[in-house]
Parts: sequence; C-alpha cells; structure tokens
Amino acid sequence: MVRLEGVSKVYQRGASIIQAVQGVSLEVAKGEFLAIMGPSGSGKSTLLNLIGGLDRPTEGDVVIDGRSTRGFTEADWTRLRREWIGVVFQFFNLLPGLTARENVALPLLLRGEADPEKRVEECLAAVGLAHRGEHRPSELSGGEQQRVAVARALVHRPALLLADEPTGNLDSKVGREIIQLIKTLARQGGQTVILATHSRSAAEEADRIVLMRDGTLDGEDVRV
Amino acid sequence: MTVFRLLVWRHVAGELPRTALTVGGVALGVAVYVAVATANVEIVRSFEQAVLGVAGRTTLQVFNATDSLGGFDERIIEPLSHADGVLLATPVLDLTGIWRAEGSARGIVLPILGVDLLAESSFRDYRVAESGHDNSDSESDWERYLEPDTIFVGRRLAQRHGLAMGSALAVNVSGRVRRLVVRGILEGDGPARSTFEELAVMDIAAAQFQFDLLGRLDRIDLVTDPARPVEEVKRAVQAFLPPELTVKRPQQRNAQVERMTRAFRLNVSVLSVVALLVGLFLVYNTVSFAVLRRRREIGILRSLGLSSAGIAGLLLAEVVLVGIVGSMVGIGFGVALSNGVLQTLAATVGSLYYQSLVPPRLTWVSSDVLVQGLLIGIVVAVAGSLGPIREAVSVEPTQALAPGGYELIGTVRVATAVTRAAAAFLLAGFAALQDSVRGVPLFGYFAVFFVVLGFAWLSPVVIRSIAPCLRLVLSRRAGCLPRLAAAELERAPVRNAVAVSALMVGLALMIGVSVMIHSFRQTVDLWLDQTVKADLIVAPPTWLGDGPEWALPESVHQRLQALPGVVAVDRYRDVRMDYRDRPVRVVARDLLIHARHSRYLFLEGDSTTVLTEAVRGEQVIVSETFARQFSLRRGDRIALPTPHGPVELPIAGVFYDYATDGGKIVLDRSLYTRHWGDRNATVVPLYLAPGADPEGLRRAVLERLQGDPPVIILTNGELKREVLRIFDQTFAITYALEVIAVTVALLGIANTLLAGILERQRQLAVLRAIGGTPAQVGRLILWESGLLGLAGTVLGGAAGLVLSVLLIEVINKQSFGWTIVFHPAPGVLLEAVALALLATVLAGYWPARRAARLPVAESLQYE
Repeated sequence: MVRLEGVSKVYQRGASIIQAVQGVSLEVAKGEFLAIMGPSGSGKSTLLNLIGGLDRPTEGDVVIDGRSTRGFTEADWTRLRREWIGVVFQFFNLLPGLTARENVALPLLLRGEADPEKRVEECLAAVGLAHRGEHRPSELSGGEQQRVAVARALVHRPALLLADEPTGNLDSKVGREIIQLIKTLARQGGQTVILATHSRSAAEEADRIVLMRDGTLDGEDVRV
Repeated sequence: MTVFRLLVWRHVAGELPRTALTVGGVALGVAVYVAVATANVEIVRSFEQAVLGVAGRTTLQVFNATDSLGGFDERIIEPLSHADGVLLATPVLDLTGIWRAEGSARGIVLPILGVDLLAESSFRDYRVAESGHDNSDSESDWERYLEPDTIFVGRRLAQRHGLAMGSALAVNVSGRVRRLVVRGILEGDGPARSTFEELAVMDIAAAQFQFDLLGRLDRIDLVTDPARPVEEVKRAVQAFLPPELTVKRPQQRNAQVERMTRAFRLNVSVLSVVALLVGLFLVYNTVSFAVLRRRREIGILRSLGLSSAGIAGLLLAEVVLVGIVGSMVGIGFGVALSNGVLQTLAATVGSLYYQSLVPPRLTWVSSDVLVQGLLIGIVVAVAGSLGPIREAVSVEPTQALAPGGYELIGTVRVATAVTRAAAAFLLAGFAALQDSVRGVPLFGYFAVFFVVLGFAWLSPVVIRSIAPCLRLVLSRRAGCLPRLAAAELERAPVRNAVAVSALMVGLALMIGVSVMIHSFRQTVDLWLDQTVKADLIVAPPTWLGDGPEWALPESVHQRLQALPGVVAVDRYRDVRMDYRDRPVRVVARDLLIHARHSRYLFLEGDSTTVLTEAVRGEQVIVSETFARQFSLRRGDRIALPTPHGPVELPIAGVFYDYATDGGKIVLDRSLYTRHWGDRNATVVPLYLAPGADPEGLRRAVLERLQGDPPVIILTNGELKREVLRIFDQTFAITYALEVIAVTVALLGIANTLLAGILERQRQLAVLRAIGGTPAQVGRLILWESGLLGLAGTVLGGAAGLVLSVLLIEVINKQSFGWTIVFHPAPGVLLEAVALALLATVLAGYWPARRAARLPVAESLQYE
C-alpha cells in the first residue's frame, strides 16, 4: 500500500543542515493500522508529510499503491490527496469561518461535488456530532473539533488516513476516544492508517508500532 | 539602544515587505501633500516675486482705478514727485507685445516693461549682462540703449526663443507692428531674478514713441521717505490724485491674488489631505498585522516583566521610525511630483484668475513644507497605529501566549456600528448647514469628514452582510470558494473593514469629484448653449490666452457693421476693476442687441425684460458669484470708480455666470462709455443672418480687417469648445489626485490580503492538505479580493454620491458661489465602479499567486 525506499529529508536552516529523516525504508500493508512512535523532533511528522506529498524527499522514493511518486508533479500529489488520502492534525486545523458541517463538506466541495449533504451527514453521525453540524469550531470543545477533523479526513473515503499527533492537544480520556474512533471507522471503511504519536497508549491501539529517533527507524518493529 | 535593536529594528529590517508597505502608505500620502503644498506655495511666491521683485524698492504704485482707460496722462508725475514723503517717482509702461518668430505660425507673448533706463538703478535689481561690449557702462553703449528701436530681453526668455545680441524682432503691440533690435541681455539679481529674466525692457520714451503712446503711462512707481510710515504717505498721495487714479502698496496686489486663489488652492489641498487619510488606513492595516504576528512575542515580553506601557513604547518607536522613513521618501517623491503639479496648477490658476504667472517651473522648495511633510508623515503613522497598539497592550499575557487564534480581538457589533454611523451622518448634516468662515467652507470640509467616517463605520456591517447575500444570490453550483471567501471576510471584520474603508474613501473621492465636475461641466455646457448665441467672435490674438488682454479699437466695430450677412454687431468690453478692494470683472456691451439675439439666465425674471429695464433705468446686472460674495441682491446699489469719481448704480438683476469666480458686473455700453470714456472692445461678437455661412463670413471679416489689428475669429462652436477645454484643464489636477488616492486604496487591499495570507498561512496549507489545488487557493484569494472590492465599491459609490452633493451644494457654493445643477452621471458612476472592481481583483493577483505557492508542510507548522 505504502512503501518507503531509503527516504531522507534534509532541511537547510541558514548555515546549518538539519537531517530530519535519514534513509527510512518501511512498508505498510493495505488495511493496516501503523503507529510511528518517537519523541518530539524525531522526524515522525516529516515522515508523514513525505507520505502525504506535503513535502518532497531529498533522497529515496515513496511508493504508493505500487506507483513510484518520484516523477510526481504538484498536480499529481494534489489529485492523490484529493482522491486517496485523508489527514488529521494535532491542532485540528478546522477553518474557523465555517460551520462543522461546512468543514466536513470541504474536501468534497473542493472536488467539485455539488450535493455532498448526504455523505456529510453520514460522517457527522459516524463521529457522533450529527446534532452539532451548524456550530463553528470556536463553539466546539477540543474533542469535538478533532471528531469533526476525523469526519473531514474520511468524508471522501480515502484509502489512506494520515494522523499526525491527533491526541497531542487533548486530555488522555478524549485522546483515547479519538484513537478508538479512528480505528473503528478505518476498519469499517477498510482504510490504511498511519498514526504519528509520542503517546504510548495511542500507539498501542495500532496493529504495529515502529519507533523513530533522530530521523531514523530505531530497532525492530513491534507487533502489538 | 540594545532593546530597540532587538525588539524594534529586528522587525523593521527583518520584515522588509511589510515595512515597505507601511513606509509606502505614509510616503504616498506625504508625497501628494508635499507636491500640492509646494506647488501652492510656489504659485503665491512666484506671483509675489513678480509683483514685489519688479516693484523693487518701490513702496507705492499709482494706477488707473480701472484697467480700461489705456493708461493715464504722464504730466501728473512732475507734481507727484514733489508730494509730501515721496523721494522718487518713475514712470512705467506695462505692455504686452506679440512677436511672431520667422516661419512660426504661433505668436509669442512678450511682456514689455517700459521704464526710465537712467533712473532704473534706484528702483530695480537687474543689469545688462551682455551688451556686445566689455564695458557696458560706456558712453557709446548708452547711446545705443537710448535708440528708439532698442529692446532688452531677459536671459531665460532669450534662451528659450533663441534671441541674441543684434536679433531683430517684429513686435506687435495693440496692432502696431514695430521692428526692434536686441541690444542687451538682462540678468536679474536677488529674489526676483527669474522674473527679470523672463521680461523684455525698453526705455519708456522709445516705447511711447514706437507704440503711439506719447504722454501715456500705465503706472508710476514711487520710492517714499523711509522715515515716514508708508500708509501715511499713501493717504497723502491718494488725496493728491484725481479720482481715476489710485495708489496701492505692491503687497496689496499680492494679497488680492492670494485671496482670490485661496479657495481654489484650499480645495486642491483638501484633496491632498484625502490622500493622507487613505494612507492612514493603510498604516492601520500593516501595523494591525504586525501586532497580530507579534502577539506571542508580546506575550513573552509581558511575562518577562515588560509593562503594557513598555510594549506600547516599543511599538510606537517602530511606527515613528517608519513614519520618518516614509516621510523622507514621500518628501523626495513629492518634490519630484511638484513640478508637474505646479504646471497644472499654474495653468489652472492662469485660466481661472486671468493671472499670467512667472514660469511654471519649480525654483525653490519651502522648508516649511518639508517640515510639515515630515510631521504629517509621523502623525499619520502614529495615528494609524494607535488602534492596533491599544489592542496589543490590552491582551493578557496568557492569552497572547496561547497558540493559534491570531485575530484582532476587537469585534464589531452591528448595532454599535450603525449607531456610530448614524451619529456621524447627523453631524455631517449639521455641519453642511453652517455658513462659510470668511469665505472658507470649513464646516463643509467637516461635513465631508463626517460622511467619510459614517461610511467607514458602515463597512463592517456591509462585510457582515456579504455572506448571507452571497448565499441568496449564488447557487450551490458556483462552488465553495465564494462562500469560503465570504466566511473568511466575516471572520476578520476589523481588518477587512479597514481595507474596505480605504477603498471607500478613495472611490468616494473619485466619484464625488467626478460627479461634481461632470455636473459642473453639464451646467456650463447648458449655460453656454443658452447664453452664447453670437455666431462669430472677433477677438485679439491674446484673448483666452494667459497674457494680458488687448483691446480692439472702435473702428473694428464700424468696419464690420456693414458686412453683408451680418445682422448685428455687439461690442463686448471686459475690464478689471476693484470693488471693495477685490478685483471684479466689469463687462460693457450693447444690452439691447444682447436682449434681441441672446440672453442672460437670471435667478429671477426674464432676460429681455430685465435687460431692457437695465438699459432704460441705467442699471447694472451682476453675476451670482458677485452677489453672493458681497451679499447683494436686486435693487441694491453698487459704487464703481470712474475717472470722474465713484458712480452709484442700482442692480437690475442677478444672473448665473460661470466665466469667472471673482464676480462680474454687466452694464450697457452707452452707460460705460459715458462714465469711463473707453470706446474699445475686448471682443466683437457678430450675429449672422439666418442661413449665412460662418466660414464664408470668417474669411470676409479677415479680408475686411486686412490684419489691422490682428485678430482671431472663433465660431460659436469653437468658442464653446475652447471654454470647455479651459474648463477641463482647470480640473485636470483633481483627476491626478483621485488616481493617487485610489492607488493608495488598492495598495491597501493588496496589503490586507497579504496580511490575511500570512496570518492564516496554516489554514491555506490545510486547504492544500485536504485536496485543494494551488489554483483553488489562488482563486479563493481572488474571491476575497473581489468581495472586499465589492463592499468598498458599494460603500464608495454611495459615499461618492453624498460627497458630490456636499461638493456642489456646500463646498463649491461657499468657495466660489456657483450654482451647479446636480447630474448623477450614471456613465461616470459605472466607469468608476467597474474600474474599482477590476482594480481590486488585480490587487488580489499577487497575493493570490503567493498564497497558491505557499510551501504546505512548512506552513502547517506556522504559528
């Protein structure tokens, strides 16, 4: 489903060079729930950005569904994200001017779908927020905002869900609920999930955990 | 200093694009102000220089009380020089010659000063720089100087027209063409240097001889006893003079021109202040944005122990710095611009006030204006930043340190905004009803300010209503971008309201002034159509030009009367007189001919009846501007100076007139010649028989006059076109100012969008992360730009119409006294609206490109 072949990412910050990811090779099977665990600054988010095409590797290749992305243009990546990938962020990143319903509908609207209502209602119901559709992000709690973000990430039925520290900004109880929600919905939809987290309890919900440290995969995979 | 460098300079130097935008906002406002102020000062100064410089050490000048009499008898000079307190008296002829260079069809106007060369050094500071001899004071030189065909020309004049020692010129003065030889090039000294270098000088005896003016003078310059107060000597001299002569201090003429052009100059200045106002909005914008970006830093500094006042001080230091830099840049641009403004202003003042001015080229920049520019720039920067700085210091440190949520905390309640707007409109209404303050429409300007303020308060309300309106208007098929854009605008009402207000002010000014000018032009056009009925106008070549006017002798009238195809010949005499120490135009014409063939538009009463009554009752009619200026009405009496003492004449009617703003008095020719003895005409209007060919008659007139005197002949259509051309030239400057104001406003929009993009960089990256294309992100910004433009345009259109009514009914009426009929000019309105909308979308182009190219991963980390 997703295969990383010797992927590296180097950033230049003034005179210094930061090696964010170094020669990572990794394979994620279809329908798998993989957690990438590591401390802050270990390169988890960068790796997720590389998989989602939000950033480009300096070296190596990201192979998605058997296709190398080496020659991908900006438009190819945009198309891939639009059709194939859903993203959940740590800080929810909902658009503050829009209601929960409008936020969830956004990926479908950006694809040009004129009547996304039915699917949007399904997703809001699936995350337990059917009754909060008309509320703006500022009127929702952190947990509710992240549920809306999950609904938004899944509304276009992506094959791959990338979740970057989705519990990082939530208390542990709500964090657990969100991970459960992601897990359940992904199972139902047959989605592959890659979760970046530093929370052990969140990672333990995954099928497999890989540890990251200083930009490299650290030791053996852990089968949960 | 270290704190300044760490906390202020780092931002100023480190965020160059933002600093440049703020500096640009201040600079544009200051540049317009400096350009206009410099030009204004230069106009008054150059006139002052022309009058005072040429006056030299003269302390008093004796003139005709009216300029119609063709000078006065020189014999008065002898007893005058012995008058109490008078040390020296020298005769002056003030002539206007026309010189046609060989092969050139265009005549060049040559101001000629006829003076007593032997006495000149006691009066004026100029000298003969080139005489063909090394020693220009040699006896042989003096012999040649005093030859009757000698003329001296100023250096600049000579350089411009390629004149040198020995050049021969055929100069035409009042129809007399004489061959003169250049025997010296003049150079001025002191402040009036440029004035002398644009003049031609002849010995007075030679000038009198050459141009058949023996025994006639235009002026006597007096040097009075420095030990005696000039006013006292002036009273003594006035008592000594016959009634047709008057004595004035040279400064008095200046004051007159200063007063005459004051309203016009003030109007132009006010327009320049509007540019400053728009600059103010721009500063508000960029500083708000800077504060937003530094919210976290402010939180950190507060938590480290810096007080609110300390924060405010740091931010103020930054804006003062930006204000100083902006002012400097603005002053530079302003001085560069001022030459252009000066030329336009000089031409306008020239055509409006019949003053020919010294070369419209900047020679000097007033240090006062520069200091004002600097102070204004700083004030604009500080005033524009006060709101955002207050916001910045009122935020609690914990709040400032919280991630996300970058937005001005100031939200706008619709009810509050509407109430404030209503209060501003009420104040505007109240101010509009007040009278002028000594001829200056001070309250009119207040009314304009309150109207602008009221509409600015309405802008958040309009922004709020965009989203619901769009939902009503746009179908779902239109896509999510417009709705997303509207939601975004609604979310940041304060920041967007400022951008909308900036555009509103610019556009309101553009529409207000355009509608006013359009209405004015329509009114003048209509007035010309109804009152200018003569088919041909025979005029001296200097007529409608910028030089002093020539008169046509009575013989022209006599020779044209018998011309076949001509049914009536009028004699139109237009002279300047002083009425209550202000210059007015006095027009004498055959009112009965005018009543039969043409008309005046009276405020009350029918033209034929009023004119006939005026002739029968030996009355005058006066223009609306005159009546308004001196608070006179039908039935009142006015006293005019004549050679035989003042004559009192009753007013038979008040008519609309747009030819001059100083005011006009019209009387029948017979009455005029009886009192003033002047039989000349300024122009001779001809009325043709029905079906007569104007072109054929134009040729017939030229044939009949045979170039003596030289004339130009305008058809009715040509005259109207010429008047409208002068009209358009008069208002050229206002268009330039509008363009600047709108440009500043558009910069404001671009700035707001850029600020928005930087502020919500992460949101835009999220859009990309969930599948939005770069093009969609770009289009989103263009939609925002377009919607901001729409809001600004709706408000600007409405404000513009209100402004045009204020300009027409209050400001113009109080400044100039003209009645202008309001024409809403839908064409002008549509043009302005279309231009503004197009321009706002263009203003969004660069921000849109920038947004589309944001690096996604990096922007997702953006705080």
